[in-house]
Amino acid sequence: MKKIFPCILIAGMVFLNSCTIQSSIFVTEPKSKSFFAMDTYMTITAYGANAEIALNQAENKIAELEKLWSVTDENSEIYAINHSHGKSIQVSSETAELLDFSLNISEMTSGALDCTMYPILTEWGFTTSNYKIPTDAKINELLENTGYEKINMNGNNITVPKNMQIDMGAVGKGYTGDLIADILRENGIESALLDLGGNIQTIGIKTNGTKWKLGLRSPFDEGLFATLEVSECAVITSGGYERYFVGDDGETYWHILDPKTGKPAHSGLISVTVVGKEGRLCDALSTSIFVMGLDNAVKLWKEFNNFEMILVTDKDEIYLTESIEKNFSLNQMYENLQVEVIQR
Amino acid sequence: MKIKNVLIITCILIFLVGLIGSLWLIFKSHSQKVQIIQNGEVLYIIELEKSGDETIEIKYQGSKNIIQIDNHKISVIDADCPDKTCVKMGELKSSAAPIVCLPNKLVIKFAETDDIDAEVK
Repeated sequence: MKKIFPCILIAGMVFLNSCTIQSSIFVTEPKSKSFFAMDTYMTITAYGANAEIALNQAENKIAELEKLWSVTDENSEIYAINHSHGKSIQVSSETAELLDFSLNISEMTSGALDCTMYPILTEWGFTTSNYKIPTDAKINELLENTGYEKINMNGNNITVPKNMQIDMGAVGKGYTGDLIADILRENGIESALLDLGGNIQTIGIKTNGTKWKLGLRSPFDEGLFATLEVSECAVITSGGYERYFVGDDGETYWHILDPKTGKPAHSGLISVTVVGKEGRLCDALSTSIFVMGLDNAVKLWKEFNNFEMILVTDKDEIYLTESIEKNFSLNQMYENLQVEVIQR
Repeated sequence: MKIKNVLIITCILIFLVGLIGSLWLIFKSHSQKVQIIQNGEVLYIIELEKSGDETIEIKYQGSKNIIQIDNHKISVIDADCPDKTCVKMGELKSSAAPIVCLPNKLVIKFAETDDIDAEVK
């Protein structure tokens, strides 16, 4: 008789175990919302009682921010700045904070990020998809009217010199991620995944107690070269593969321009992923580091100590910072890539 | 003696249900249902495993995308948008990376999620 009880116990354990294999069946179903905004496709997934309300608020907020920051919408604040002919324009606190942040990163990266490159991006056709290679003379002429340091900010009043134009493309989506994460948290959401067109921001961990598992897009092909497990952070990648064209000369030209030359940045890096607490910082730094290259990126990382990174070079090497090594794994098909860990 | 037998049989039954349940959850076919969505509206739900080879033309405000199902794989093979990002994306591989055509507001994605939660790109 005594032998029966262990039997029941084991049988019961096997039964329960079979249930927990797919424990997600027993936890709250996530609420998810997908929509087109900011020239990309976004999906936000949230768990919790208020998820639906929070997601609606998030979608409305994104539409509101897009109206403020669109370069082409004639009613946007960025449009007003770009058509101010050098006059001072008063903007919302969101736009002022975004621009202020962008200018700070420009300082921090010695100008590797510059929000005044819009006219040159347009000349290359990256804003319209009518790609062409501008002449050196044309680029030099346009470079005369760039330079973040010429922007003047006095509280919410912004002055951009005549013939200059700004765009918030390199920081806007990251900043949006931060504001949306705040909205979700205010609604009591403790677990959420924001996919803003490939810019990822996570709140907490998954409801099954594990970290979020993110696939990193390979710069060599359409696959995922690695997986990264994260919680409560933003993960943002910049790569030459995102938007590019092949010129008549057979060369590939991508959309991340070096503000110093007005031409696609060739720093030796082909993909830069930045991991950190704030979406805005990750977004801005992924672009800047792509322009700065490996050595300057390492210096920046050691100096500021507020982000982690995964860099892929054009020599098939991967450099990653030491704190994320344990959460990083190369996918099988990419095991030929050489991985170096950057120590502090 | 009788009670003991009943208990043993109960044990075996619980064990078997658990075992079969485990195996079913592990091996249940991941039904590869794919949704074709335009501007938020689901136009088609396709079960790739059961679907034969076909091409689907989707129109949007004067432009179009041509979707192909070939050997149970789905991809966009032609589009009249300028950048053709959707064509370059190739076959739909993961629920974390839907095929998206921004100008034509078209999304092709797996209805169920898989191992990866999201793709950073």
